[in-house]
Amino acid sequence: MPETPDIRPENPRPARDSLYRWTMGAIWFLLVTMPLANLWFWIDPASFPGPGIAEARQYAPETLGAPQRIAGFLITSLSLAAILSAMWHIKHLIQAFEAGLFFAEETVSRTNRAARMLFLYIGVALISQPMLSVALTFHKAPGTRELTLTIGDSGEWVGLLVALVLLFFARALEAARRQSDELAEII
Amino acid sequence: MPITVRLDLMLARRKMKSKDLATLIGITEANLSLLKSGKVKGIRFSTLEAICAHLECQPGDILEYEP
Repeated sequence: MPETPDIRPENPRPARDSLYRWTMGAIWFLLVTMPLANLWFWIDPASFPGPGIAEARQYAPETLGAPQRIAGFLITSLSLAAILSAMWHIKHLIQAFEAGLFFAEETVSRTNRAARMLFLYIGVALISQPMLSVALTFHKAPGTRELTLTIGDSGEWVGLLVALVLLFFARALEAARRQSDELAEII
Repeated sequence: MPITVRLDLMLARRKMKSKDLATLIGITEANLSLLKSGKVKGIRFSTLEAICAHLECQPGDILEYEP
């Protein structure tokens, strides 16, 4: 019986490399476009495609003056900065995984930081809605100003879950790192 | 640690160099040096087996317990 030729590819990594490239591309795309979209929304909300920042739409941002828009931009930038920071740490985490650093100090620290930034994002997002309502209606006559209180939307609660999962993931990585270090000391 | 590694002694008795033993048992010279100095947390059975096989000795000839 003739021997079956080995038709496995010599390098089985291309699929993983492609996943890595797509993920990094998506992260870079969001890191660049999200701040630009935020800026665009507050500079010219009328021309902004799609709903943009839903919490701000209800106050008709196209009718607001420059001080309100600047305040709105700064408030929304706070939560944006937190989510961008989380994405930045996730980017470094993926880079470390790609470099073969699975159970290293770097991966544990990046996962922990990403989780913390997500928690910060949720905290800031929860207070940014009341701050936005005050900032965008402060120019109105007394009695028509608003203070909106919310308990967050579904996205924020999902974000909280993701942050908790990341925190547990960081703990698991830390335990694995310790075990890996210990194994490295066994000859 | 009360466990002392007597690998140096066995190497001298067998007139074998560390470098040669490291090659024979398939570990680096640096790791063998760490093992000789006792600066490791443990030794694998497979490493111990290879050392014993090449030095023709028993584990007790390499490891000694000193309370």
